[in-house]
Amino acid sequence: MKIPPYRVLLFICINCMAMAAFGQQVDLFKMQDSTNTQTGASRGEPVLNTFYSTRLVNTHTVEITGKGSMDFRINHRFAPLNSGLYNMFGLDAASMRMGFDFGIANNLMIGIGRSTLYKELDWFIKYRLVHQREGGSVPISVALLAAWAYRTLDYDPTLKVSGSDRTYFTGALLIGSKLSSTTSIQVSPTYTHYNRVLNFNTTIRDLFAIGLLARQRVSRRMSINAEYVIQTNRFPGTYDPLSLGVDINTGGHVFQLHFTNSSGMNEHSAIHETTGSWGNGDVRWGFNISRIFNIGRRH
Amino acid sequence: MKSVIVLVLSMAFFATAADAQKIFSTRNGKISFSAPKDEDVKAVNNEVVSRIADNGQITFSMVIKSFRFKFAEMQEHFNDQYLESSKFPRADFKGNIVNLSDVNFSKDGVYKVTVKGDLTMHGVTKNLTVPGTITISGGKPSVEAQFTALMKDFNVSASSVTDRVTVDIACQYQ
Repeated sequence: MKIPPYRVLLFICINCMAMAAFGQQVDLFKMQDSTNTQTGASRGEPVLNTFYSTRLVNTHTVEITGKGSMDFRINHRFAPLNSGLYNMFGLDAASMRMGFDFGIANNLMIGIGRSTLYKELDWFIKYRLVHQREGGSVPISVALLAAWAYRTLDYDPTLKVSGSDRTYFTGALLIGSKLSSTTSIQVSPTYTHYNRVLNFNTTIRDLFAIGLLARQRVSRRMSINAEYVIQTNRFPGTYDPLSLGVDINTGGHVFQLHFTNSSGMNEHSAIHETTGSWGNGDVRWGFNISRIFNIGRRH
Repeated sequence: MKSVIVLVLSMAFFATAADAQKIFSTRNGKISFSAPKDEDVKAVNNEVVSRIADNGQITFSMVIKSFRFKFAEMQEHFNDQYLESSKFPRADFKGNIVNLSDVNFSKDGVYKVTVKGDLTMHGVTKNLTVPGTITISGGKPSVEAQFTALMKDFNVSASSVTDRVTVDIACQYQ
């Protein structure tokens, strides 16, 4: 049988095409690049570091201490700047709160503390209901806070101050959002109940306030913070607390330096017992130091 | 009709002859690291995408946020402060087996190999030479290797924690 030349040509052509199609060496490097491009979009992980710490200055942020970690916190507030050179603009006197916070489960923390102001013990529980996710599927974080304080200061027996008179409750809803890698904001509607008001002449027992928090990260390790709490009703002679500060995060330690007109550092006193006014220069320099210890069981 | 059969058979012959390359892959390779001086600093990523081909190419790709630590606070610092994983979400390695002639992918056995390639992490690409082992079992390879990564090579400022980590690789391919 004679095979026509065009058949031979077709035969060779088709075989060359088969070789080209099957025999092409796959380049793994290009394959990896294309896999990475396909899966490159955000996987909707929970956002990190909406704020550097669980407090911005005095009030709580939506952050929760990590499970298995303890946060040892030392807060100092010096005397007012307007106390003059004789008192070294306030540095001669200080009020402090020392506290221990514990991350006891994912999204759940508790803490205890003691303040020198009125010798108060405090304790709180905070739970993060919603954790913001990258990519916008969950745009906010939401946490609930319940805090109690107990005043141990001695009072004249004729005042008949009972145990319940010494107890304060604060509850807050914390709604925060990391708007970008550098900017975060938070709104914190807060309710506080005093069983008895011992140092203001008032009939008010229930107070409402809205905390407005903002932080702007200026480098990987530093942020500038502002915290303003608007009180809808207040004790006579008190002002709305305004605090401005910086956070320095060293990874393990967070140093928070600020100016504030509050002298209290626990939940109720930081908001509702602010007798200093920025207008009068009744502003204090202060700092918080937060040190994280990993105390959970090792593998 | 006869010529069509000849054509098909010859196509099959040419195609098989050319298609000698074998590619093995996994989506759950394991890469872990630890700091030699601090036993708490260790993390594992079980979702590493890796491929190996008998032409000597080997690739690894991993999402930085998939590294799991024992302590959430540590994982947060790792992602936010050190590896900046929102900015640099993944690490990639593309390399070649230097001594490819020592490895027979069709024969079960344990082969010592040296892989040379580029590791890209935290926005920095560095050329590495890593010794490792390829084990072929039932025609499927697995890879094990260990190397030390210096923080300063990848512009990671974690000097308060560690200046280096030991990286362990264990991948079983299909």
